[in-house]
Amino acid sequence: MMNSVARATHEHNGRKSAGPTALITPINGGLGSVVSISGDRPQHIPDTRPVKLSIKNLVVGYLDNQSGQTTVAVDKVTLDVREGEFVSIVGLSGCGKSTFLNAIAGLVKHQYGEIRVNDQLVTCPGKDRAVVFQKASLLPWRKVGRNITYGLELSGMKPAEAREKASYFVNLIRLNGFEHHYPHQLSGGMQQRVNLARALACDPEVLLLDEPFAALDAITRELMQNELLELCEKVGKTVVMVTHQIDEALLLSDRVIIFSSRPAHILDDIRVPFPHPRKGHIKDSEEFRGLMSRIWNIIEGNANIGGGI
Amino acid sequence: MRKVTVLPKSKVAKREKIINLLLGSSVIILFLIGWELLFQCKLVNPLFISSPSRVVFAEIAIIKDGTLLKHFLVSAKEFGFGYLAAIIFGFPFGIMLGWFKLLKASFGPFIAALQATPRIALMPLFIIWFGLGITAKIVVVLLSAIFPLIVNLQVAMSTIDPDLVHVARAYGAGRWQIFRSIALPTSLPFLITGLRLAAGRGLLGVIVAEVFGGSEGIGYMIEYAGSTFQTDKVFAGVLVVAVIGISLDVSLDRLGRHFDRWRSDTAVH
Repeated sequence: MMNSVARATHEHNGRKSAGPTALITPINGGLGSVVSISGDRPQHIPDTRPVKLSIKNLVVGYLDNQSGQTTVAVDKVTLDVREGEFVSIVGLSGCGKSTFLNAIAGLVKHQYGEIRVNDQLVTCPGKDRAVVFQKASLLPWRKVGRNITYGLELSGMKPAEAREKASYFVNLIRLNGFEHHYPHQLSGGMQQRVNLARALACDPEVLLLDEPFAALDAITRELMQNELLELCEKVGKTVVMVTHQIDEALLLSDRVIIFSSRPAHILDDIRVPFPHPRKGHIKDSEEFRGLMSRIWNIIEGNANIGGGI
Repeated sequence: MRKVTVLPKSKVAKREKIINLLLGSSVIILFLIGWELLFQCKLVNPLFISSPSRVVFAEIAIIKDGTLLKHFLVSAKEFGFGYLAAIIFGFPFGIMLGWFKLLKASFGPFIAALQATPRIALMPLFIIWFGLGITAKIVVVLLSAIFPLIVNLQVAMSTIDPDLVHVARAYGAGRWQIFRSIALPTSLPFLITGLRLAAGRGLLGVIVAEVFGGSEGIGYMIEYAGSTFQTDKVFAGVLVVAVIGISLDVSLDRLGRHFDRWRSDTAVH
């Protein structure tokens, strides 16, 4: 099976650690390495991959036009995402995780703290990041091919050149043959694949996914999750995904970050121990279900304290 | 799968189209027969109503002696310049009104007031200002055609999908890029609708303006024929105007369909 260099490095970094609140469950990884789950980030064995996305003390608030008051959506969040890492953010709806993602995208201004991609400060949208929103939002008058190259064209590339550059991803996401269809001729799942291809074609340093499959039906969603899993293992991108589905987060990610109810801060940062390449059926395993209920308990506990529901 | 479901649908649509065409044309034919009978049986003074056959003869006569061509060219020139000017000014102005909220707030009421004023009532003023030549008529066409364009393009800008703008911004698009890649394509169907409405209004404007005053153009030809009791020639002129109007509308509709292929309800693959 294919595995990127970044993933391979990650495998070797499988580590054992224990934190005060850790629920230690030794798992026999597919490659024979023993990995453990921990609520804390490991301190004694450092991850050697360079930090791709670094967020320090991020505070995002916005002015409510009706009440005239400032609402704090994200409260002092600090997070490092390393190269090739897939990080998911889960939390109650309205907790500020989408705002957080929009801030990384540069679409929402932050009031305090800093966001860096490859050590470069983020102040506005840029070529180093690409976002996949929940709604496919394809330009309806453009055929699939030119929708995929839209991001590249916006960065000043000629359509022909952009097509060339995008063709790799068209093949990878199995959209070849659909380039001359209009978006309305495609199913919701296919539209979302075009959306994904549009983001990947830009070859961003960090890929941001904002509940990418939430608008799809349950079956399509499962299929797309498996497809994204395979895709990410192939291209080894650094990904930050916001989702409501805990199973989706666990299946796809290397780390799951749990956000509190608004204003959002990090409740827990859970390392997902399953080795790559993963298959969709790991969802049936005991460990997977254990992790799911653990994450759920944390979210639920927070909701009860904050009265968030 | 798709083709199997689409084909019978288009067949049904085709049959419906033929039936509609038959129904529509039979009413027109019946009307013409009735008209001809009314004339032939001398039920009404022939001077007042003429007859389809006499209209056809009059039509042939004005084509043969070149009167129609002469007047047509004048009217076409007036309409063409006025319509073009309406597009040149109306298109960017309508877009800007929709794009910049402050501009809409400032100019909106003024435009609404102008639009409510019957332009043709200002014709005496235009004659004083511009004389009886073609300039006054061009101004009337311009003022008649510009408002549907302004209003439609302004509405077009308000129908821009905010999600698309959000995506464009996420990919780092600037205002100009958002305008070019999203606002302009969105405005296209509205532009076509505006152009169709503007063509109708402009045509009406040019004919009425010529009837009002002047010495050439199809409107003048109709007015002159009327005042000299040549009813067949009046109808011949009206027929020409109707044919021009319909062909303008149909060709603009065709153009619109061409640009509308991406829409789910018109696209057939």
